[in-house]
Amino acid sequence: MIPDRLAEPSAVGALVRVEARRLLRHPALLIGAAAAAWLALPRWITGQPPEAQWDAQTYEQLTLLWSPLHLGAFVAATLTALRPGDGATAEMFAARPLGGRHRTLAQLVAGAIPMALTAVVVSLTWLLIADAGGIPTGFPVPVNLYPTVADAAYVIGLTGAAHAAGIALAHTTRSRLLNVVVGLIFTYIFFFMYWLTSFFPVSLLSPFVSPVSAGKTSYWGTPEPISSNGDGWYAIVRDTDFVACHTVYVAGVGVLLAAHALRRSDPEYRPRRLVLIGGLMAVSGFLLQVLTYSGAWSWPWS
Amino acid sequence: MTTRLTAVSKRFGRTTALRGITMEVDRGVTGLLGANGAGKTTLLRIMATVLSPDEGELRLLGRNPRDAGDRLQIRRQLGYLPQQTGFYEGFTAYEFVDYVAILQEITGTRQRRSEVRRVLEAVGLTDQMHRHLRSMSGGQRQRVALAQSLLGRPRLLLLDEPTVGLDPLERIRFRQVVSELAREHTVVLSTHLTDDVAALCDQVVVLGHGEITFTGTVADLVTTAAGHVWLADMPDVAAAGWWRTGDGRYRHIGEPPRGARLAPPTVEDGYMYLTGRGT
Repeated sequence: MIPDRLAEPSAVGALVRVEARRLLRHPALLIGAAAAAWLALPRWITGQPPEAQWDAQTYEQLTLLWSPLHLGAFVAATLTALRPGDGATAEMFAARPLGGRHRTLAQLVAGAIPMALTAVVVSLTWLLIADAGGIPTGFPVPVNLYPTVADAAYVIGLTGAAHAAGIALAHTTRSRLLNVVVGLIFTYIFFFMYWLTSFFPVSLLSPFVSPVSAGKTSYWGTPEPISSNGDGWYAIVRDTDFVACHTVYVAGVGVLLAAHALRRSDPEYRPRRLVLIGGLMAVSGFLLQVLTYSGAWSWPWS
Repeated sequence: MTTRLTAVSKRFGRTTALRGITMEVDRGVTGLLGANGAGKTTLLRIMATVLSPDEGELRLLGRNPRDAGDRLQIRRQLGYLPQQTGFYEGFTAYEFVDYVAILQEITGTRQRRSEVRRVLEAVGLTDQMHRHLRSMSGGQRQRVALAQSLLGRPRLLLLDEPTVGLDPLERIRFRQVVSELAREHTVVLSTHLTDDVAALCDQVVVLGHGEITFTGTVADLVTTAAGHVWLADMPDVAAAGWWRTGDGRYRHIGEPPRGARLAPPTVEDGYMYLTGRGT
């Protein structure tokens, strides 16, 4: 194995810039970002909160609306790692100082582009929500909630993990079509049908978690939003710490996926440090979710 | 000596691709000739640090490619055009060569831009550099592949069948580029085309069944067929090697046919005679 220190860091940096530029104009990513913006922005542009079918729907959907962007990031990443002609270049590239691991590393680091794109669209939405006076949550007297930094970090982290997953899968299956289909199926199950995985402990392990949940039985006069499920009153808990811990878990999985992609791109490379860091993040993120969760492990409005 | 191989062998399963190859190459162009399966590509892949030999010692540019640090230093001074070339189809010629330039650690933006333009100009692709590779002809793609091998003016340039798909004008341009580089650096050229060997090479190595059967200058190779090349008005069908020439006469290698006249040999004659195809 060629030690990392021997490779020219500025060359890896130049490679990152090439990959970032190409990713920035990748149709899958741009379509995903446009679709997410189309879902998230117009509902707030009027300055009025959108109509909701249940008391916490608007807040819950705040993190759900970005699934097209996550899918776009995944597809763009997997197609970048499986460029047409990629296999045939192996012999030509094999005699170069920068090897397959460096190319994969550059593709992974270029994930900063979809993450930045997510940050831009999320920030715009957050501004519009602030302009509209917050998200009305609860019934019959709604409390206006503002999205938190943890909510934004979670959405951006999901994009990063989707990017890493796209590259990791590309280094596993080597099939463009299969990978796109896998991305569609995962998006459908984990986001469009998110209630399928919204039970403990699966909800803590799936990409999507709701930032709001049903808390202990409550009563009139508390500062937190409340709602009724017909049998009684309950609190609507907005779990900022829980979302932050889930973000740590998602980021940990992303690092593990990145380690897998790097390992597959260089058989002599053992990404022990990355596996250790990613594993620690994923495990601690999962455990901290259990510790910080304030809800009642049920979603009575779902 | 730039490159030295000592008793190098390589096997793929039960097939011995190279057997005890010992050779030295230095500044100038060394031609590798041999039939399909003779071991030319395997030898070049070993010299390109893509393959490791099973046995023997190898020194490339004075370094040992088995050592990771040395291997990196070798790759920094190496240009390689493999027989099987591949491209990122969605890239333009410029983008692709630029990408390879980064892999070659040419990192300064200005330096890289001028180097990429230089090599594309050297292969006559200046006007086509912004075309996508997927829309290029086979010859144009081969020129892109050749261009990437010239990046950074490599001290050791390894070319496997570089003129395949090139038209006559492109081949002449290729010869100019390689001969200019070979004035200061080492070029190893694997080819089936004896014309290219005659035009470019200072030294020739002929491989047969994984072993070296001849090493010498082009003139030495030509000399091996001296006295064995004949021109006749009619073909001698019993001869193993004969063909009709442009003036309507028949060239034979080996034993003289009836009424034949001795002809001065060429590189092709030398190669044919040496490999036993002309006898």
